[in-house]
Amino acid sequence: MVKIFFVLGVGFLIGFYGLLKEEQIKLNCRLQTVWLLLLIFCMGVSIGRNGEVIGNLPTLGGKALLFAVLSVIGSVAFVFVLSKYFLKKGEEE
Amino acid sequence: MSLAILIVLILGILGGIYMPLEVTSFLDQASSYMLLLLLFSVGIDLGLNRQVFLQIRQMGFRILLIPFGVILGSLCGGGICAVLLQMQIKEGLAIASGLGWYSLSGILITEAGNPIGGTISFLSNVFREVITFISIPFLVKYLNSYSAIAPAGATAMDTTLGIISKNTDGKTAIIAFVSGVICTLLVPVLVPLFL
Repeated sequence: MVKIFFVLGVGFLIGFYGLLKEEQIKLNCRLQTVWLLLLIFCMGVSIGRNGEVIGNLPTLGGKALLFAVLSVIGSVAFVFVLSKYFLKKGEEE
Repeated sequence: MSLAILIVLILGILGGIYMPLEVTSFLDQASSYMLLLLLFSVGIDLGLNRQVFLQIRQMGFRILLIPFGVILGSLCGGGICAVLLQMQIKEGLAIASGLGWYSLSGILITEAGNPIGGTISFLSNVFREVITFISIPFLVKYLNSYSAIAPAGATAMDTTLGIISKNTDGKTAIIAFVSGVICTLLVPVLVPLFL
C-alpha cells in the first residue's frame, strides 16, 4: 500500500516539475504500454494457475458483468442527477 | 489496444494452466513489481498535466461533483450487486471501487488473499471499459454530456478520453479528464478501505 503511493508520488513529482525531456516522455508512454501488457500477462497467469479461479471462470465472468453493469448504471444516475441540479449547461463559462 | 489486452490475458491464462509451477509462481510474484513499474509511469503522466490542476480552480470546486457522483454511484452499484449475488457487502464495494482501473483493483484484492474477488474485480473493470465505449454516444443523446463521463470512471483520463471528447465538446473533455485523474488517485485509497 505504502509502496503504491510512493512510486505514484515519485512519478508524479518527476512529471510535475518537468524533469523529463520530450523523448523521455515519449519513452515513458511506450514503457507504460509494455508494463501494462506484462502485468496483464502475469495476472492471466495467476488466474490460470489457480484451480479454484479457473474452474469457476464462467460464473466469475457473469458476476463481473453484473458488477460492471450496475456500477455503470449507478454512476450515470448519480452524475446525471447531480449535474442536472448543480451544473446547469454553460453556466460556468 | 483492448484486443491486445484480451489476447495477452488469454495467453497468460493458458500459460498459467500449462507452464511449470516454478515459472508460474515466479510470474505470479513478479506481477506486484510490474504493477509498481506501471504506477511509476502513470504517476509521471499524471504529473505532466500541471494545467489540469489549474483548471480545477478556474472551473470552481463544483467540478468535483462529477467524480463524487461517479464514485458514489459505483459503490451503490457494487453494494446492490453484492446483495443480489449474496456476497459480503464489503467485498462488493471493493470490487466496484476499481472504477474501471482493472490493472490495479484486481491485483490489490488478489494480494489481500482473495483471488476470486480479485478476478471478479479485474474482469468487471475490463467490462466496464467496454460498456463505456458502447454507451457514451447514447448517454450524450438521451441524458446530457456530463453523464457520458460517468461510466468511464478512472479511465476518463486515458483510454476512454478520446471517445468522450469525440462525442461531446472541449469543456466536457476537460471535466472528464479531471474526473478521471481524481478517480485514478482515489482507487488505491478506496479499494483497501473495503478489504
